Amino acid sequence: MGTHPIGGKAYVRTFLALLVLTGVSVALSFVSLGWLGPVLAFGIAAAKGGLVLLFFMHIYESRFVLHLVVLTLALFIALICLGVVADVGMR
Amino acid sequence: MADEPHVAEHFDSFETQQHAARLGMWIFLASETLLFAGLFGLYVAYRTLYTHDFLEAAGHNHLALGTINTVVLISSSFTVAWSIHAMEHDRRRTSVLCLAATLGLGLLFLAIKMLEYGLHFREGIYPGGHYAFAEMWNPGAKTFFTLYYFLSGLHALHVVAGMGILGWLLVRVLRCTETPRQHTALELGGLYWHLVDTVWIFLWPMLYLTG
Repeated sequence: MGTHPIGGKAYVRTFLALLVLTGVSVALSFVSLGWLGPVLAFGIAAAKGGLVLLFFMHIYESRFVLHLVVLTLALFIALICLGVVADVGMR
Repeated sequence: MADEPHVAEHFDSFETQQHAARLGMWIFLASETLLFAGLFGLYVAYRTLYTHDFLEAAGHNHLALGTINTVVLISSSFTVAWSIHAMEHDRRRTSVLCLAATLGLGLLFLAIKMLEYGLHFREGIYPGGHYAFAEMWNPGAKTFFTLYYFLSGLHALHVVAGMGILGWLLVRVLRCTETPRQHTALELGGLYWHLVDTVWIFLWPMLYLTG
């Protein structure tokens, strides 16, 4: 397939950012943050997943229809998880 | 020309064919992700019900081994991306080396996972009704470790499938079936491996960091 505009340096930067975010997650897991702890842990995971999708998987430079697939997927996952929390949490 | 991309007759151009291949792969990846999303929903439900037990059980998992495995998979995502990048720039040798490194990292991930399972088995931490870990005898911990085995086991199966695909791609690159102008299989196989990495990125805080 054709050469991707993203590559080389962007891959190295993405890789380093993923390693740094992993380190931050580990460091935060040793601090008692209450409800903020899991919010930060999953927020960082979402940021890492986003970096992989955008740069390693080239969503950043892909056509709109692929953005639509990813956005629909994110919406469905959020609906599944939030719906379950609302159901179980409010009993 | 040997490197002239093959275009199937129902596509009007190579670009349209590429786009169709990518879209098809992304729809497959989305359906795979929804399989995990259902299990994530189950995890969220039980964690809401047994918050304290889940945190205690997750704290018992081996954070160092889980973190090493996270770094291993992130590195493997980088090497597979670099393999495709090298192929695009006609550096076949680098592409082969990066694919081989990705396979090696996949194998290392599985070896560490097996080590972890072994450590759990020694303590009597088995899934479902076979759970026999007296120190953490509560319904929340039992549920957590059952989900742990199911989620990490299903993910490990995806790692094995991904390694099979990468091995096949390695042969294709060595045989020059994948070329700088046409390496659709390599790119789509790489996407699958990145999905395996992304799923683990979310499993790691679910199973290790909640302590």
